[in-house]
Amino acid sequence: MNQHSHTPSMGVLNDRALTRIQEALESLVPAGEAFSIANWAKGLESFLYKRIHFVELPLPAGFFGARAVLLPVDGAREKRPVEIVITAAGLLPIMREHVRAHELAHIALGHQTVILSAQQFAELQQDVTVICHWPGATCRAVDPERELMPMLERDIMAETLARLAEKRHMELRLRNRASGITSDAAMDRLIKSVIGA
Amino acid sequence: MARKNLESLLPTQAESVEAFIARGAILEQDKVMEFRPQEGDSLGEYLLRLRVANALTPERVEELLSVFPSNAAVTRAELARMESGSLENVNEQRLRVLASLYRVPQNWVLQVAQYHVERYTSPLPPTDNTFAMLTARALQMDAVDPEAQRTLQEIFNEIIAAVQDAGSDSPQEK
Repeated sequence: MNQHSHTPSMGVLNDRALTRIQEALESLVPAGEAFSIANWAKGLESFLYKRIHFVELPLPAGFFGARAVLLPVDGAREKRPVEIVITAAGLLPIMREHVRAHELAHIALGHQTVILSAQQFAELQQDVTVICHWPGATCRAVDPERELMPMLERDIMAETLARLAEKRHMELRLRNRASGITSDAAMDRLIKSVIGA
Repeated sequence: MARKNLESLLPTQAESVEAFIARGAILEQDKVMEFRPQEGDSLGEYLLRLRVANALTPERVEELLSVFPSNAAVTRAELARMESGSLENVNEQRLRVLASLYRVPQNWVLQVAQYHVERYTSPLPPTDNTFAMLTARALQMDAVDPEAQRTLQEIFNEIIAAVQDAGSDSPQEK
């Protein structure tokens, strides 16, 4: 991230937004050992009656992820709306996981995005930027110009939820790994040193 | 499962849709003011927020509303489409039924759906829901190597086949 990228901070969100994030974290994100991107997606699929597909596409420079919804036609095999979560091709696995978490956070928070027809979805293979031109499409990007845009608040909510989910999981893993440490203070130091708290 | 902080208004077995809507119309809004619409809310986002607050699954909503005729009831698939932003299954009666089920004033849901309402309620100020235009620079698919392109094509075809009529072909099969 460069200095222009928006660093999500709990401080820029109001209490209502923070409450919603906390509720989503507690109710719509798997906790403990059950946390994984796959399990989170599975839980959302069930609670929202949707399918969630992850695909990688060569997004433009600076874009990490995006999402779109496809609505099945009458008589289709799939009855549920299909959420397409797009990550930029070539991301490091840990970054890809985070971008997926960010997009799942948008879904958990009910943020709307663009609805595509099957034809429009197919055309993404020729020009994936179609999805990012739509008003209301959620795209994960590092772009200094976007700092001026009001939709950042929505994006920050999703980023905050994604980071809280990952932080909660990381803390649990660290606790498990540090179970041999007898001093609480030593364990706290270990956790803080890793998560940068 | 979502935490519950709204108490759903449940239809009874023999209740007509008109009677249920009438019961929903007299709910006190003072107790649920924190659930009124927010500036910039889309209908889908607002409906999902209310369902989460009621801790209702799509299956449960379908089951509870199955006592009503099809133009007032909502199947889980229809609800998921509405929450995704599709307006094709939206009608006034359905919105009144959903508002009643979620125990919020019907006018709130109707005004988010841009129906005329007798009494407009000032929405909560926006927190997270202001849409904006995004721009991006173009990048063509040929940036991907042929094997990755083939794999991607297969994934696309699989998804497209699933959401289209069982008898039709995917639009871009090569």
